[in-house]
Amino acid sequence: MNGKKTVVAALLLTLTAGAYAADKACVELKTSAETEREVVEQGQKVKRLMPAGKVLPGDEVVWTITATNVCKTPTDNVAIANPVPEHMTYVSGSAIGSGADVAYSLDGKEFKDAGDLAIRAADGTSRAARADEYRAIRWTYKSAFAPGATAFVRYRALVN
Amino acid sequence: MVKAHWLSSLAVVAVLGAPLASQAAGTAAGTNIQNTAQVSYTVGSSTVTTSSNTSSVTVAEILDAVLTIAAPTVTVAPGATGEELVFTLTNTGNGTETFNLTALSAGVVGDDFDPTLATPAIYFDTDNSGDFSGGDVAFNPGVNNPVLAANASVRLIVVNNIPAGVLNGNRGRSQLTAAAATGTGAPGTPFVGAGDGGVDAVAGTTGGDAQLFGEYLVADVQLTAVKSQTVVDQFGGARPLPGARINYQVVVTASGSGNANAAAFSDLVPTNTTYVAGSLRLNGAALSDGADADAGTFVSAPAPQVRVTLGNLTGGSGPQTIEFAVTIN
Repeated sequence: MNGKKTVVAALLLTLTAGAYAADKACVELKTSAETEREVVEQGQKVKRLMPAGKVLPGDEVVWTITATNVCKTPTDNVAIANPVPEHMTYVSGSAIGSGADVAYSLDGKEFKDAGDLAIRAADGTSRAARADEYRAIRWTYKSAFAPGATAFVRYRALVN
Repeated sequence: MVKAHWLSSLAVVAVLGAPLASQAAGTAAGTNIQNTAQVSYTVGSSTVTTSSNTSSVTVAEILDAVLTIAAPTVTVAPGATGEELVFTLTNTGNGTETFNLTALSAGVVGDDFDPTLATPAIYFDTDNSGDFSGGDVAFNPGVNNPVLAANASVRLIVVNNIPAGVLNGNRGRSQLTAAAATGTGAPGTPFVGAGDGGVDAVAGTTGGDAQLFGEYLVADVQLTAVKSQTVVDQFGGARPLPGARINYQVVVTASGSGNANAAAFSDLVPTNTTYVAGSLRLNGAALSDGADADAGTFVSAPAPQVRVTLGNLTGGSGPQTIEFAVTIN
């Protein structure tokens, strides 16, 4: 009797661990904030990205989001979305992501190509949205992430 | 009977009408800006969405100050006391900041004489009147330093006395300095942990302080008014009978090298006489009795009087001739 119980308990444990592994993110995402600073290296002034801890209004922060497939199977339809943080303004043309299509959103829900976003005024007229009005960005990858593959996307935003 | 005076009210109107020289201070010091990204993908047939870590940056405090002055040049007479310069200090940083204030009159370069700072020299415009008045509280260093939230302003008054020996046209400067108590320095100078709530503070583009001088211009201007009258009675003579008309003429002349700003003339209608409607004239041109765009007004209460605004008068303006008529009751 005692031996049977132990076996059942061990089996349950294995099942739980397996379920956890399946639920655990196959694509791990990491967000980091940096600022571009001029440093002197070997007598040359060069721009380097340094971790941004403290910033001032008007400073430009470079947000980098890195995605890595940590599973043993490929992942399809990878899409990274990031709201432009509160107190920040997106810098026009700064979103990049190799192998990904970039779309923008004014509300964080509906994503469109930059040229297709419009702002409707109270009187019914509408105009093209400006880049500083974008509130979220989405990168959609055209091909699957192979196991172990990693990619990053990046954009710049100003502290209001 | 004749009153000729000049006012600084024009300057006050200009101050109220001008926008404050404040800039958007930006996101408040101490704000924690957080960012979390999402990713969605499919593995086999299931779609999964997960979030990244939350990365954050903290907004440091910018130390910035701007001073403006209501009237950069104030005309004064030799020996005048309690002459004011009205400044506005604006905290253009992004945090709440305490400011140290200092006034300097001796040794400001570029002028002809040194005004003498009154004791005390700096006042708050406590009654918000825009000028130095009885209710204004003196600045007491270390006791009641102004504490301004981001974008907030305070009006400050620097008071000087004018030496008796100064000459027409002489200029004397008096300077106000406001410095962030957290620290000042070249733009970008850091003050680690000294900002609001313990965040770092950084000297902004102004260096965390502001300095501005105002100027006293000695303008020993005098206004004189000479009044004359002619009586015309209803019988063709010049006897002051009931019903007779008295034509008054007042000539106002400015002399000296200065400006009499916003000079205004007023004269009471004598008792036992009645103002002749429509008889007011300035330099030969008729003025309407109503309070309207032209310079003249007849005021019936509480005491009947005529008023004419003469604008800014200088010695070169020439005599200003005001005419009006009354009838004897």
